[in-house]
Amino acid sequence: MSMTKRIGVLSLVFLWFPAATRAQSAADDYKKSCAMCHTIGGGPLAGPDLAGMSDRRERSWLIRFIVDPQAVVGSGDTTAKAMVDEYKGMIMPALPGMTHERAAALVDYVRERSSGKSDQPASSPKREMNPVTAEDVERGRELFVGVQPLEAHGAACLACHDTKGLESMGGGRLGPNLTSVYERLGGRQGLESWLSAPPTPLMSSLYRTRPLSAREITAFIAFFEARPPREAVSTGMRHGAFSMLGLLGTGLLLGVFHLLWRGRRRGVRAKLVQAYRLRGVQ
Amino acid sequence: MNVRSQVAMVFHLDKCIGCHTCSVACKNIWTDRKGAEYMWWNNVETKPGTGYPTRWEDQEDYQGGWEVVGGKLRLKSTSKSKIVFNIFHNPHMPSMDDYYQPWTYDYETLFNAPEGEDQPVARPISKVTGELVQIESGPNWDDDLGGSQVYADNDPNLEGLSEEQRAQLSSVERLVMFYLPRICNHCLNPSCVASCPSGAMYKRGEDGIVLVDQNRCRAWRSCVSACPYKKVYYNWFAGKAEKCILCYPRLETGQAPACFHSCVGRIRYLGVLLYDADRIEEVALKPDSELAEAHRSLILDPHDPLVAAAARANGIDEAVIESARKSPVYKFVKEWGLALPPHVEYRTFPMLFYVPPLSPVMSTRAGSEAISHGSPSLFHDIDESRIPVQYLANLFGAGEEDGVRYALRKQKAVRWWRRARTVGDVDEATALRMLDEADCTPEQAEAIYQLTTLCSFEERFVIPPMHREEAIAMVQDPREAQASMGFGFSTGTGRSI
Ligand code: SF4
Ligand code: SF4
Repeated sequence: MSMTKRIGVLSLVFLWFPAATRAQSAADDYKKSCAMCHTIGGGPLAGPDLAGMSDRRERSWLIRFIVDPQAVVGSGDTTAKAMVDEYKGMIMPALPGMTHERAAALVDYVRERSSGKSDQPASSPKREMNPVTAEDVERGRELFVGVQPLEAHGAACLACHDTKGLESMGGGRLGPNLTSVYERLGGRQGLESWLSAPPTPLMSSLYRTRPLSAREITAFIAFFEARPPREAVSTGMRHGAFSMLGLLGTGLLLGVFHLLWRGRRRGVRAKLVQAYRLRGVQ
Repeated sequence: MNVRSQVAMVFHLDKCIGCHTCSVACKNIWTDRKGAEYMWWNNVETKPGTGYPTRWEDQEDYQGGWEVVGGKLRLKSTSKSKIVFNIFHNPHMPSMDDYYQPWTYDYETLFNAPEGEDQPVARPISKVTGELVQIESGPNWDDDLGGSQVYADNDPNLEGLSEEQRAQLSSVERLVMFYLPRICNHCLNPSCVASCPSGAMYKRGEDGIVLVDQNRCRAWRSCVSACPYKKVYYNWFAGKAEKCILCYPRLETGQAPACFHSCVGRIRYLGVLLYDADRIEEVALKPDSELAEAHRSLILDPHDPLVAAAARANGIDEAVIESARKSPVYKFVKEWGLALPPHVEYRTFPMLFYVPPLSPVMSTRAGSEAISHGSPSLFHDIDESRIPVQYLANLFGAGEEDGVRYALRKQKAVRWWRRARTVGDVDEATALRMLDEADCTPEQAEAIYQLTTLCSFEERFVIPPMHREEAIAMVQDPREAQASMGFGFSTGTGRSI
């Protein structure tokens, strides 16, 4: 091989390589950041179906939106507003570490896939629609409330989320209420992709290093799918119980303090006056 | 023998007219500040009465002072282990109501009130909360037996008095009261100092004045409950404990403390005592009945060359020893045995002594019988005086009547002696016999008379040279301090927790 040829091949490799990695990383990125809420041609999940999005929207708008959805919605953009309304007020979460370049690569990737040029499967194969078993539902409940620990030792859902129909005090109020999460995220598929890589900053920071296993995800899906409809359960009792317990606890604590310091002295003067008044009345 | 010097005091209760000039003088100088409005470093109580704060003498309630438990001296209010649990909540504090809610008046309305049907009035406003208040008590609410049935009847010193004696105290024509001016006693064995978890309280070496270091005080308030005389106060605004400082800036410049200086009845005496610090613990462990006498035995005779030598060896200046020899307090307490410590049973060994009041004895008997010269018991009327001896003994003798009786007899004998000399309605032989029975000589009687009635400023207040410069030089080289200070920085006493 002549020197020139060798240089030619090498430069070809160098020229081709970055492009290949870019495509590669966009595919990865899509899987990690987008796939739990979106499909390309598979119908809407928690977010819209992305097929043909480049035809529907300006490229620059798409990139801007991906980099900071909140800002675009906040800027009063009508398209974005309409979308928020369509998705019941849900705004796409900001993706950690999203840059202009990554967004551009993602837009390109989606466009390529929509046109069917990509040789990769359009999305993960649809879950077989097995009817969920009562066992799965029960396991999901146990995982949710933390009776059974998660395999990777992640925090139980109950710590931050509530869902109607839980016994006693219910769950935390930090995260959103998950009663209708099944419908909100677009059913089984949406839930599955969301749970396999939670995209919100808080969830991802908690579960990136402690991912849920496939078995656990199945159990959660079963649990959320079997949630009774919103109206069927009332939470009034539970909130009442919570306040009651708070009051009771306070009372108990005060009681303990009183016992501990029952020997403390109180004023005497008022008592003297009181005793005198009582005598005066008799 | 470990000789120390102490600036000590005598209040002659027979002379107090209850004018509160002392309290006002003190208030104007020291406690006219935010957070200190309710403090009366000097207060004057009417006895019988409950005092300020209400019933401060009831240590079952307030838990002040020391107690002997298993042959050991122990603070009543706290201990090293108890304080761990009570450090954020001292359970024996006087309440605001026990002192009183300090107030002023809404004078503005007198000028600004809109025209209306009624005369505008200046309503009372709390100096703590700034809100309108209903005044329910004050620091001398029971002055001159005001509200007797509430206050005088609940005087803790009435303990041990028969029902009849109690009833007589307030019966018509036998009604009796006297005044008890009080300041910090600058005790020899101060429980306030012992209780402080921050080590912020100390007894000055050169004069025994008990002080609170405002920079080290951490507001634990242990001293407030530990002082049985309730003479440490908590400044709720500054977050520090405060107490009588015996006007040390005045003492250091040779002036009597403000309350002494302003005293209208000239009841106050001040001078140095030398005492033996090594014996304090031994004396504090004595039973109640021997306490008063033992307390007095701590005080050393400055004329004794051995004592003077030991004092010198301890670094006490010659001028201070000389001052101790002239001390009016030494005379009243030691030489004459007239002045007694208040509530010695608290075992803090107060360095403020009281001459118990004799006043109403003279009028207990009707007509000529009052001067029944030939009576074999010339002092019988002391027992029939309006103020029961038992009552005075509860106040000044841990319940033991002997000390009080001795002081009263001697006072009475001096009166008779002077009566024989000036009025002449008592014959001299009887007067001499009384003096003799009261353990007094004519010379001593004259001296007592002199110091009680005709005393000058210099005789009442024998202030030793404080030699602060020497005390300071022991800690800091004055030349170095002078060179390093420049214009100097003074630190305020704000909250520093
Ligand atoms: S009277 Fe109270 S404050 Fe004063 S030294 Fe004695 S214990 Fe301390
Ligand atoms: S100023 Fe003197 S006489 Fe007047 S109340 Fe005070 S101690 Fe008594």
